Amino acid sequence: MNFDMSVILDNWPVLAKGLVNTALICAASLPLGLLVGAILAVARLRGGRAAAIAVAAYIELIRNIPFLIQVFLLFYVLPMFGVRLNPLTVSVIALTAYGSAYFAEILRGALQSISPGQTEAGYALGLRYMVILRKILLPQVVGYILPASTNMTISLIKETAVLSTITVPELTYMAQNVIGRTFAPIEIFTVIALLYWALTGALAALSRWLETHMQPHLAERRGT
Amino acid sequence: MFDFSRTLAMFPQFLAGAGVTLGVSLTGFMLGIVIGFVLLWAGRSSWRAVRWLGALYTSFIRGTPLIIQIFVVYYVLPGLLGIDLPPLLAGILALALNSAAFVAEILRAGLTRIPAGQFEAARSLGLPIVITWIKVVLPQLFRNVTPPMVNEFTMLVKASAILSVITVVELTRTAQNIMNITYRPTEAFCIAAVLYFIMLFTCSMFIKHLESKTEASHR
Repeated sequence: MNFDMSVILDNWPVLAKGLVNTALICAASLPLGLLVGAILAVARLRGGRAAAIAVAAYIELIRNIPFLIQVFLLFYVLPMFGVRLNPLTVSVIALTAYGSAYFAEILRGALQSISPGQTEAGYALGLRYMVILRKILLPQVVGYILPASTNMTISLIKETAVLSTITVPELTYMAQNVIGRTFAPIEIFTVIALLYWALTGALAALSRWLETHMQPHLAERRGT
Repeated sequence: MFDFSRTLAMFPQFLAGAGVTLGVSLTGFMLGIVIGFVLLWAGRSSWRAVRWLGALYTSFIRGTPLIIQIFVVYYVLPGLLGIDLPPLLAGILALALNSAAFVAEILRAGLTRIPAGQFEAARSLGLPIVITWIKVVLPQLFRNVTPPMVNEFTMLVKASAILSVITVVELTRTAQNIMNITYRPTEAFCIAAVLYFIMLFTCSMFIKHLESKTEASHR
């Protein structure tokens, strides 16, 4: 077998564009997913019975249907209602919906691990729930949420590769294009596998660094 | 707006697709458990190079998208090895290679819950290492890891949808084929989604049941 580096170098601009699109899709859907997930978690915990059931149903639907099917459904269903979106927007919506369900469960698990007495104490002091959440509950669970969310973020990055099936010009789709022109699957798949590996590896390293560097800060807060 | 009549007429095909999905996932999972035990052994090896290779493999599998792994097994592996892999075999192999990394992690985590004293006790009783594993370690390990293993199986069922890109005619591909006949994509994917949901939700209910049982036995 011979490994032809020139194929990679010649097509690097195309692959780099795909990598940038992958990063952009993630960068857009990650904060959106976290935000929607936080709203869902709070709605499930404090929004009353109807909201809790609705959120639980949504989360179970998202978690028990393959992401690929969700993408296809969004891609084909929205036009039926006259909504025409470009594949890039569809991907951000799909990833946000997917990520929010998992982030909501992470956050709910974390919040439920804190004794309800703290929330009650907050209420007794006249604080509103948002203030209790921000000042009392969230600072305690950051250490738990961070590793779980990193894993989820890595999953999201990996799921973006599936978007190639609805012609989103992300890394995998660009790679398939290049392979279609150059017939060099070994070289191209090797290089994009390494690119994904580097991307997720860098993220995992960043999360580990954040975890260790947030411990002194947390310890300080606990001490006072 | 929705018209399920023509799509529903092909319901037996959907069921067959769901059957292939379950079959492919189950075969891949079984093979993945075997490879997972090899990885577990590699992680506990006294040779640093073997440990390092095992860690590298796990990191690669966990750090790259499954669709890329499927492409590599289907398009790259035959070229490297000079063999012809039909889609179904390539799909099962890709699922197995993928789940092995996760299975190995589950097994490793399960092993940490078995006290080292048990290994020492078995050794001081003169039990051969193989008997120790079969009679002492594995029965406890099996009970420890059943819930996360069923969870890993549900991940694999979800992952098997991606096999549609290499023309394995499982549930997702069946839905695509039927969409091409009926020109009704929404209906086809809705039915596929319902079937996936039934399969996966049953599994997650089973996990909840197992977890409550383990919790009860620990009390």
